[in-house]
Amino acid sequence: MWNKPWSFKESALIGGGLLVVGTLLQLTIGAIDWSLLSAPINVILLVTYLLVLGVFYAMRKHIYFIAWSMTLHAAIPALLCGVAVTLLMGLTGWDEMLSAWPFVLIYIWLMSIVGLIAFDRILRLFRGPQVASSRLATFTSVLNHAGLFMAMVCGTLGNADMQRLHMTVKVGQPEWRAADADRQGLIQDLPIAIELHSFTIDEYPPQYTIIDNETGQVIQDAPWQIVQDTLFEYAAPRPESDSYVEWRSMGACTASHITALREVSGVTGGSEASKVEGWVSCGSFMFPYRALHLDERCSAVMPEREPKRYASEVTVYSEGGEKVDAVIEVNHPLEIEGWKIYQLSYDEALGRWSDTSVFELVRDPWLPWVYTGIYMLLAGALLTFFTSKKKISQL
Amino acid sequence: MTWSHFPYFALPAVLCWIAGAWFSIKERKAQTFAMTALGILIFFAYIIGMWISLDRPPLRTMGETRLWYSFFMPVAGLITWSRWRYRWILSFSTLMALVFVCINLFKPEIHSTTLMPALQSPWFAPHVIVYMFCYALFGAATCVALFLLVKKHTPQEHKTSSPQTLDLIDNLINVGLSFMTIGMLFGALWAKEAWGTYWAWDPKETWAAITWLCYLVYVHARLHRPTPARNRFCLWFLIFSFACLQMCWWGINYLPAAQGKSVHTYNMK
Ligand code: HEM
Repeated sequence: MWNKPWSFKESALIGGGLLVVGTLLQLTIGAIDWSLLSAPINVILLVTYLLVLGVFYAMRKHIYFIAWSMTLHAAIPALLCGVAVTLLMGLTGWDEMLSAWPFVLIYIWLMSIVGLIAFDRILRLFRGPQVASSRLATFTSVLNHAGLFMAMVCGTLGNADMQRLHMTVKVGQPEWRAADADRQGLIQDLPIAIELHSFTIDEYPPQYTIIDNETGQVIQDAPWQIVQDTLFEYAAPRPESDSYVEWRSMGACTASHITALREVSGVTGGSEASKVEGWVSCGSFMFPYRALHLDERCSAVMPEREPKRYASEVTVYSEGGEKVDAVIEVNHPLEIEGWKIYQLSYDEALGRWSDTSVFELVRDPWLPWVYTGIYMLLAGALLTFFTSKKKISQL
Repeated sequence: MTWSHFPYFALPAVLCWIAGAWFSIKERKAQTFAMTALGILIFFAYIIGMWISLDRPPLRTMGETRLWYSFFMPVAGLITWSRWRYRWILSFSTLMALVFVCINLFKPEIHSTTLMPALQSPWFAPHVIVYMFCYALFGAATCVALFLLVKKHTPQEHKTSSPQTLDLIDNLINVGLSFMTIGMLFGALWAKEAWGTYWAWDPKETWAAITWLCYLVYVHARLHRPTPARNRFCLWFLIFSFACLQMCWWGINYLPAAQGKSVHTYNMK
């Protein structure tokens, strides 16, 4: 051991050493507080890290450890350590791992190897005459290793600069204050204000299920077939009666008149006894739901309708005087002055009558760097796909 | 088109695939291609039918993703066979597809019919389809690895067939890993659009990272000068990696540590 040339064993020992050192650090100085890394500290750290890696790379011929770090002897056990710590997190569900020293040290080691390889392959691109195919392979390697390095390092260091705020806006009351989603809901004044004009929920057509009268459980194979006769998207129960009327005001619920037919051994029954009709409703914050009693065992119900689309119609004002009208939906955020505004939630008690919309506002100044890394990785994966048909000639 | 029509498409498709596999063992090229492709077309017709009648891509429930898996298994098999002419690869892919068809026949888990807003994104279909294709390739590679590990009792044969068969596995893994990387990054880009963070280490993402790292181990380990011991390590490691992949795919639905934390367990509602 530790006799040159080093191989896998030394790397495994370094991995073990990092885990031990990490555990000691964890026990003495405690978990890492990522929020301490906000700008400019993360920028300084990044520059220092890159400089150190660069100097290491330049000295690789003189320091054996560094030359060895760039071999598969070092990389494979390092990757295995990465698998091991991530596996621990996956099996236990401890999110705290992300700020635990052993985990982070292993990942720093992995990224340092990837960084050195990235340096090496980038320089190799510009060195000497090369055949086209090996230049392409080097280029793919640069995309893979440098892309991963950029995405991981910038994503991690930039995390502290990312702001995630939640803003609750009521119709007709422009709002510019938001609560920090990460730091105990600290209220902040923002350089942008949102005015909500309307909030709407589109829903899928109602569905009907059969439930057990006693347990309330869904019965999958109930011998009843349900036909919808009338559907009121907006309805209210008629007082002192079992029926519903169409009613388009705050609090209206969905109700429909259905006919349930009992299937008798494969044939849909026609006799009076096996046919039940009546109203069902999923209810709203104002009206209770209504079930239709079918027999002593089961009832037909309309489960709450599943949302298809949430949308907020807004006007956004920025301090710089910009004014934007937009519709913000899930999967369709609005981008303005470095902020992205996402549809997050609404007043769930009121459901589709909510006059309140909750937005998530995200600012992530490091995002372009992370995205550059991600797109490099994507290109690398595509190139790997198109160039990976090795050794077919042997066959 | 509903799940009740599934057997009428699945059974003819499977029969075609079995015929294709049989022809490929008999080295009858035209028939192999025709039968396998016909089976793929029949199966794809069902997927399209579901797509149209559901009014959304059938990708949400486990049953629906298994549909794609059974579809991509023979596709991957056929591509591999066309490129490298391994006689038994189609038998493997047919067997895997058959397993998933059977699960869908006997335990379909098909309750949900609607698509919640977060899933209504142009990223959704490519993200899942690319992942399913990669799972199919990794499944095929795992079968071949198992085959090699079991077969090693006959020393002469092992010596001659093993390096080439390992090359086949390498090709499958390289292509599969490219797809996995693409699927994962699509997922990250989509997550950013949908809820503002590209990687949140939720259980599904953690397991996706584990699986990805595992296959990176394999790729790098195979770059190293091969020795019999290393080859055996690689083969065993592939099986371990595939176990992690199962965890990522559906295992976390049953993993106590992941309950109630994942934004990805849509099918559990
Ligand atoms: C996107 C993920 C990755 C892919 C697709 C990938 C792929 C490759 C490929 C194809 C090579 C051989 C070509 C070459 O030497 O340039 C290689 C080499 C190498 N990779 Fe990676 N890699 C990835 C991530 C990593 C990671 C996370 C590590 C960290 C330990 C790593 C460490 C290395 C090392 C040390 C070599 C050099 C091997 C040698 O020259 O002997 N790679 N990688």
